[in-house]
Amino acid sequence: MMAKSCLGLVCVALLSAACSSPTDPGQGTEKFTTWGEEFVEDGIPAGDGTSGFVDGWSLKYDKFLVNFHNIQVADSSGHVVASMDKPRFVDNTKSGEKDLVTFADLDAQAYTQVSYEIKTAEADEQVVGDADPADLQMMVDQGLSVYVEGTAEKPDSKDESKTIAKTFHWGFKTQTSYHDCHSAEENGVSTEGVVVTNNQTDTSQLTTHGDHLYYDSLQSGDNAKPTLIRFDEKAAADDAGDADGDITLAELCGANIDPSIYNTSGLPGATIGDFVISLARTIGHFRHEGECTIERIDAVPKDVVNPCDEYK
Amino acid sequence: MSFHHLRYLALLVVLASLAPTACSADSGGSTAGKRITLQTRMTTEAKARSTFTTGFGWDVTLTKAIVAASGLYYFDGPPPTALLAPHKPSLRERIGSFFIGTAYAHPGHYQAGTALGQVDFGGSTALDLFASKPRELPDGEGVTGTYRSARFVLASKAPKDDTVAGHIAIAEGSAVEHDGSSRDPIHFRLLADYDDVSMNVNGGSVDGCVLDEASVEADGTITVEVRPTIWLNLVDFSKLEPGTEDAPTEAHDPGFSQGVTALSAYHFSYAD
Repeated sequence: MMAKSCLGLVCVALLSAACSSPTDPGQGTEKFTTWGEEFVEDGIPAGDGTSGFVDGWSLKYDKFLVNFHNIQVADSSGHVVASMDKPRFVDNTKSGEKDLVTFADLDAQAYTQVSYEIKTAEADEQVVGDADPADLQMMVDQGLSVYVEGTAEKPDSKDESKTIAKTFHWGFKTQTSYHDCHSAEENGVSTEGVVVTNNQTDTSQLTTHGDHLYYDSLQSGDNAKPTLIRFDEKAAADDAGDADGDITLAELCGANIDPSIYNTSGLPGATIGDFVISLARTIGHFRHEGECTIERIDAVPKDVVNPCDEYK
Repeated sequence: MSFHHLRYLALLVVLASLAPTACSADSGGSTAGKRITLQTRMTTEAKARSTFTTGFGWDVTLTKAIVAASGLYYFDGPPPTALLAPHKPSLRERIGSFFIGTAYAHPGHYQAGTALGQVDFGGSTALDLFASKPRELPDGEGVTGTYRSARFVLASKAPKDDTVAGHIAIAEGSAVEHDGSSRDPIHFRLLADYDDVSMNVNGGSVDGCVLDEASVEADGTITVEVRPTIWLNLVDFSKLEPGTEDAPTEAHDPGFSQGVTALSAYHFSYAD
């Protein structure tokens, strides 16, 4: 990390030398956008577990609603130079990259501390793009931060001419901070935060990943088994519940995890619902595959032991 | 030093050669990479010594827990987990929750980064989690830097002594259903062999364990706290025969073998 900091200083020095006088690095703009990528816009296909569901399901989102709060840019000392005025409400099933906020006239330099939050919807949020204000009101009324709904389908193994379909409408109350964001590595280099350059606009996309809710594992590293995305167990939760074709969080919270399939790495709870709720905190990314440190920022309510307890 | 890091440093050198100024010692470069000795200590989480409730709703009382390990590695890559904001636990949390809110992992994206230190136990070594005092392990070696994550290496074979009876991990105790609807207690002896843990991780290597971020500038002590409550979190005791205290039911349980390989089961810290 020390080496990375050093590289950042070298880059700034190079830019300073090339573009402006040593005493005036100039000013630039940092723009924040959001996008749900193809998985959210177009759907998640059946696949090998990484490119699509390993168990033959495919899925299409109808809504992928997210409330972005407190986007901030700070220098390495933690001095905040830019902060979003009010939360933004987004439906990332709507087509294309959507502007969240633009910070102009920032001193041209590296800002290593970039952070944002996904928190409960507020009535006076700015509605971004083609998001539906009625959806925002629904989330305010229900105290939600993230809401997804859609339909998953799979060929019926008993009759290939038929398709099994399951709908879902899941609202999450998770309040999560994403801080110390850094880009994914390119050519062995991961940039911490952003670098604003003179007279230029740098764009940071706060990417939301639609496949995380279906991960089967939280183990990581070169020696961990690959994480795959699965839907069979979610569908089975409805079958074991009221079997009405709509999978509820309550049904997921009643479905025990099979440790021969799922590896929660000790996260709280032991149901599919507990795991999905925890995974809802991991949807936020930085510049596509870049990462932020994820931290729960809401206090754990009294009498809550497992994530599902907050949804009873 | 990893190939990845070498590439990174190479890029750094190229850029530095082009830059009008070079990085000064103020950045900390003057001390980066100094060799240090890291003493090593193993402890057991306190709550494992009393009754705790598992994710499947069983109140478990452990009487024995042993794991065989062969070494530890330390890295500068941030772990794929993040701590929650501290909060005052309720009574129920203290009783029933051993893990709520402690971590939210980000699957599949952990990058260990640069290896900063390691300790080799010199072979398979049994760690008795119910020993009366912390277990002192062989000294490790490392370099100065920012330590953030660790690897716990489960032994590929059982230790030569018979403390784990030819297995990699053992947990013994009793379990009753938390809601009081239980039959008689389940007396269990859960076993994990290398083949069992290999269903979850390669090479016995549990990657991405949290090492409380520390700027390590001098010799010190790395402590690894083993958390057997995590081992038991997803064990479905309803599938086990009751057994007796003298003859507990032996089982290779998938939840147990997964728990033994859970990155959350091993928590590291440094102190100078």
